[in-house]
Amino acid sequence: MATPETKAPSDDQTALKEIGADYAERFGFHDPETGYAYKAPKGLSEQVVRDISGYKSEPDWMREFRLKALEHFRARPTPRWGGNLAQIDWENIHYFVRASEKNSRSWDDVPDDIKKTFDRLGIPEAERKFLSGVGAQYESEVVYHQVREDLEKQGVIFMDMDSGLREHEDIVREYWATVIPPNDNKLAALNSAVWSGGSFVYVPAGVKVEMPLQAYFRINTENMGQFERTLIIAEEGADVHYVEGCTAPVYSTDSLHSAVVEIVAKPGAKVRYTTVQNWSTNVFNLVTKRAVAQEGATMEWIDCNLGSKLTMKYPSIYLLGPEAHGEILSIAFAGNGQHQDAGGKIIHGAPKTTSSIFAKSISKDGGRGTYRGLLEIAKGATEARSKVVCDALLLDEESRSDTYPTIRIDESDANVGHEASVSKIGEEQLFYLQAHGLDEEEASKMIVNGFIEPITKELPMEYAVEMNRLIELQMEGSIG
Amino acid sequence: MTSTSTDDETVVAESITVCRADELPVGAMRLIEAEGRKIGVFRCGDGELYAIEDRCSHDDGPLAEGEFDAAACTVECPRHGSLFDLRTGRPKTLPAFQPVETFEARVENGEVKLDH
Amino acid sequence: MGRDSAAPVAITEPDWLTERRRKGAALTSELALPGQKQKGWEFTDLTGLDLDAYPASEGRIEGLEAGVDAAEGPPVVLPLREAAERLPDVVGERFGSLVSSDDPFVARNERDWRSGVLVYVPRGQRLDKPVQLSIYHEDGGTALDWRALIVLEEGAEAEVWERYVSDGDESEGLFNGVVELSVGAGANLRYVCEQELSQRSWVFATQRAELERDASLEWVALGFGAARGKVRMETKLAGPGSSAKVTGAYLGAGAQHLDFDTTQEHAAEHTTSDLAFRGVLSDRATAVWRGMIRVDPGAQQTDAFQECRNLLLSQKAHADAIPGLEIEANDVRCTHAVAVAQVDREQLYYLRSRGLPEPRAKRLIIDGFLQELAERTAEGPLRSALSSALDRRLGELLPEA
Repeated sequence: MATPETKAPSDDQTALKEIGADYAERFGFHDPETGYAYKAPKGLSEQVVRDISGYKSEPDWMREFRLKALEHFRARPTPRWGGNLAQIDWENIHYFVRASEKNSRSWDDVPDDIKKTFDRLGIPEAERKFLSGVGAQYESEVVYHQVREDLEKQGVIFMDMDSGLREHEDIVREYWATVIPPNDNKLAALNSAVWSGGSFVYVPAGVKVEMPLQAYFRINTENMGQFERTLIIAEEGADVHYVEGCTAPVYSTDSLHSAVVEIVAKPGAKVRYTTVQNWSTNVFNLVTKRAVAQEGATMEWIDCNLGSKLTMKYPSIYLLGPEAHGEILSIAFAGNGQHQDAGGKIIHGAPKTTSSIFAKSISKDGGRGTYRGLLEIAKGATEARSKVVCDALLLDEESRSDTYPTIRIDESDANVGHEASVSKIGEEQLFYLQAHGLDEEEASKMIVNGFIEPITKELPMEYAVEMNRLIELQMEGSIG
Repeated sequence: MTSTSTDDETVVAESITVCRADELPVGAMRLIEAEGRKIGVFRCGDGELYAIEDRCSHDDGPLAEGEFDAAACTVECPRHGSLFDLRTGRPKTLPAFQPVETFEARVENGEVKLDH
Repeated sequence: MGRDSAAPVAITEPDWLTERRRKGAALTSELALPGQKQKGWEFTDLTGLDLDAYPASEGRIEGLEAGVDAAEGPPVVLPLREAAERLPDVVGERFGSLVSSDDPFVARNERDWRSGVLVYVPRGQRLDKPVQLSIYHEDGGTALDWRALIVLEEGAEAEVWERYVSDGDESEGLFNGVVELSVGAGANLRYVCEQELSQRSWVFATQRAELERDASLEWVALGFGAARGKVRMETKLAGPGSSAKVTGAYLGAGAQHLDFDTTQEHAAEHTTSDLAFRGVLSDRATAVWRGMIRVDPGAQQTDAFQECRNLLLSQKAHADAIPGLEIEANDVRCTHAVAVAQVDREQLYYLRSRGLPEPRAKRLIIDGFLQELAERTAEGPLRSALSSALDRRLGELLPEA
């Protein structure tokens, strides 16, 4: 996995010092219209939170919400389970930087390994600049506007969260923090206090959105921000697929990313949320994602974790209406110095609900892949059926895999199965492919692609293709 | 003493005295223990009394001891932030999704009485 | 005080043993009982437990008649206190070598144990017949701290059965056992532990096995009795080529809560472990099984398997299963599976359509579910005994069948 050579060394101590260090030049920002100048210091304080809210001209209730969340954040201890969070120095982070400031980075600053990956993946020039935070705007702005017009005709709302709050306050307020309350956990509290950017998606009843909505194309100031907040509402019978992230590595000097995603799928609705995460390896990626599926609704999380130094993420589904269905498909790739602590949680809270979790993880070069999951059949959730399968591939001696599933069953007629396995690439498979003319490296790549195929086949095609290529590159060891 | 009939049984509810009525103004909560469980009695903005079990249906957190919003008549569990409607005992936000037990509380002769 | 007023002790204890008791006593007063926030204890509530309320007692042991002595001769099966005096080298070296006293239950056992057994099989020797011990907890309201030390040297073979029984169904007490199984290079041990205490007893058992190069262990555990507690079963495959097969069954009724905590630790190359637990729960009974497979770095060519399947027979029965894998070597195959279900409706329908009344049909299906466990052992007296025990216990859960 890419280890940026110039800016974020793999040594933790130095990385710690680097956090926030290059924010020195953006110590302040100006609004050219009002000439309003604000110094955004490091660390978190009531003043910083008030200023964020004020800068965005938010309604009072949102400002109060942020302030209360700040209190919760301070009161909660840092979790001691999962990855190693002790290294995070909360006071040494800038919690709000206006995006236009970010783009003052120069191409020279971008680590070589990332540039190399761009080459190998054939990423277009403008896109490279965007992914590295060098370019100001991604040139698909034209595409984006066309997409927006089509959506508006159907009554679909797709915009950044800041605008969503401004233009559709009623809808936002109705659902805001009902799925993930601000005191749910420390990182959700943090996001609730300093959130900025993210997506707001609203799909009216019976509307099927044909094309996947891609966050990538959502032009706004806070794309790929540190503390994105997303809210997706699918009315009865609606159908929508939302995609965030991309396979190409995203270089971020923000070392702490903590997003919150809330989804409500009303009766008969279908929502699929796909994430491909490939943050540079200096990033701590700590996310809270949760969905509610009401009667007869279907919720699917497709979660691919390739990058970051540490990711802690357990997309969850609450099946709260009869015959609701939930699925979590997850791929995690942990390379040198990486810890992917991922999985999923499904809670059956109504009768006749079904679910499945398919998690695949690959660990290489000392990387650590952890599956952490919860399967719960609550009282009253009669006739529930669920299956969980987690498989891990360890590609060498130095790597590590853990599986920590929890199964809690409170109804006697539940039918629940869970299987997990950890192994290396099978000798027989290798031998078979080599006998057909492939060399060991090619054979290994093919096997690994086959290993993750049940999940990659659910990705939009261009992601699937890129995903395969990226994994192949990782296998070659030509990166990092 | 009040009694209610359920099918063949006649269940006799017991009531205990919580405190004096003037000790529980709007915005206040009293915690009381009855037969091994803790129950919180609240006076909401509408002037009415509401009582719920002090145990969140999500993870057994001390629900009644959380932040009480008298105007909205809700209480927020201190453990993971689930908001509960005191009138119905139902959660308004996740992570809780099952209701908690509610109890009848009323004022009798200047005292707050709780049926449990 | 029961502890000091046991039958007059004719045997004097070696100094090292007295010293261990003293340390155990010190630790007992220091270490608090685990609460439900402590890892591993989330599902077992110990709030009703007051360890000090149970004075120590000796219990009655049956099956120890095969006492033989001599250090370099045929195998030895002796009461442990006697063995400590007569075979000081063996006992002195092995006692406490596999189980650490740094635990409230083990510490208490170290302080109070009186009844125990040493099964010692010297190099290349074989125990002709299985040692069949019945450990009777006689005095209601007391604690029985049982200590077993089973040592097989290189190439040795033995089969040891233990039955923990209460005298009478209403007997209320505490059973606190510590068992150390030391299996030497190329040795072969079969160990069966049947827990049939009264449904009002507490049961705590800390059982640990360590296998050397090419050793093999077959371990069968049955959890039928007791109200609440925890049985910890740890197996360490310390020598290359060693293998362990662990089979467990628990059947709970009434308000029983059965708790099994198993560990399969692979610390060497080419080791194999195979663990299968099955549970059947009726009424308001609950159970928790927690199992961890740990593969240390370098333990290549490990093949580890763990499975736990549960059948719930009633609305209020409840099972929690927490499998786990922590793998640090890559040339391995590690798998686990967990399932919880009710009696299969289709199977039930099939049998009923053949004229079987429902209770009988149910019994047959559950019987099949449990007998698959018995089939994990080779044909012979053990399999028959296992079959009968499961059958008998199931009959208690399903009296109408």
